[in-house]
Amino acid sequence: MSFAIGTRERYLAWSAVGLVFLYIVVAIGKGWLDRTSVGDDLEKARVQTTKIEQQRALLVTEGRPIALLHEVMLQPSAADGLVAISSALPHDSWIYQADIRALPSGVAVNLEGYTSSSTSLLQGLEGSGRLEAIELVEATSAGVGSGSERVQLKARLRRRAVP
Amino acid sequence: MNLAERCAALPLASRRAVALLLVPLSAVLLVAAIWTPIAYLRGSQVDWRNDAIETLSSAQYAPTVQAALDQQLAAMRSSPLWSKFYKAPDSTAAATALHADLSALLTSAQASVQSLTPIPSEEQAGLTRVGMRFAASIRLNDLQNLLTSMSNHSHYLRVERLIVTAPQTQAPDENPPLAVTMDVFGYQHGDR
Repeated sequence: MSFAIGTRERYLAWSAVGLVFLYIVVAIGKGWLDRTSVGDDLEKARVQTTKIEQQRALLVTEGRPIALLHEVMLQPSAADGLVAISSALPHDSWIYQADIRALPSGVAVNLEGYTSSSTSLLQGLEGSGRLEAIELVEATSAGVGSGSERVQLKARLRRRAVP
Repeated sequence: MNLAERCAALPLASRRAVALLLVPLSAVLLVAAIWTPIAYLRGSQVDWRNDAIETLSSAQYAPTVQAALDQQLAAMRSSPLWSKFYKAPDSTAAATALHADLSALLTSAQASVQSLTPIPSEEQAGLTRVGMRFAASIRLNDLQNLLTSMSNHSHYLRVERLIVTAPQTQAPDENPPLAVTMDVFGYQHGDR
């Protein structure tokens, strides 16, 4: 049994090594050619992209305070709550105490007043579309023969009801 | 005795085992030795090429994007919203300015002020807000004027709490003074 490698096999092996080497040279050469041919354009494009990114970051950073203030301004305030109550209150009712708070969850309203009918007052407030989650806390007679009720109720300003 | 002769002297089963192990192992090692650097080379070039294509294709829109950004920056810097802030170096100075603004507004609304006290300033979502609480006696039409003046004020004045108390007994066409307590907040920004 002989393990001797013949000339032909040796030639094939060296050819394979040569081809691999040639492939590597061609691949490296193509890469170098690519980089050389678009190098300047690419550098310019990178500079432009970096500048755009920097400007975008600047816009976000510098504009942050006014973006936040704008967000706050879009949230309804207690004054908006008072305006909403004034326009939603039926003519036969009047409020002697209003406590209005602007909270992160919305504007909460606590009202105390007089009305000819607590049922019609609730219906009127609900029908106005400006308040929601209206809850009658207490309704008592304002006095014998007065024909009116003393009511206490709480509600929340509808988000879209902001004038 | 060389390696080949030693292998030849092995029993048939051992020779087969050696052949079955060594031949695939040699093939794998040979392929790995040749293929790994080529694959690395190709991979790095493909990555570079993709990056270059992306950068060059985005470069054609760069002038448009740049112009839009310049426009947005200019609009942001000249935004009227900046004037809504109290431009003060600190919250104390802003609170003093808010106090002065509210005093002027209450005076012009003919309110009879019982108290006007500061609410501790706080950071809210990256903004410093300063507040004042006042208690005043004011008629309904004057309250309306006060709220209108506040909403039209050059600085943003936000009413966070409003308590209005009216007399429990009233005659028709009467305009009694109302007891009003209000928490008003302004926002301070020192950089611009």
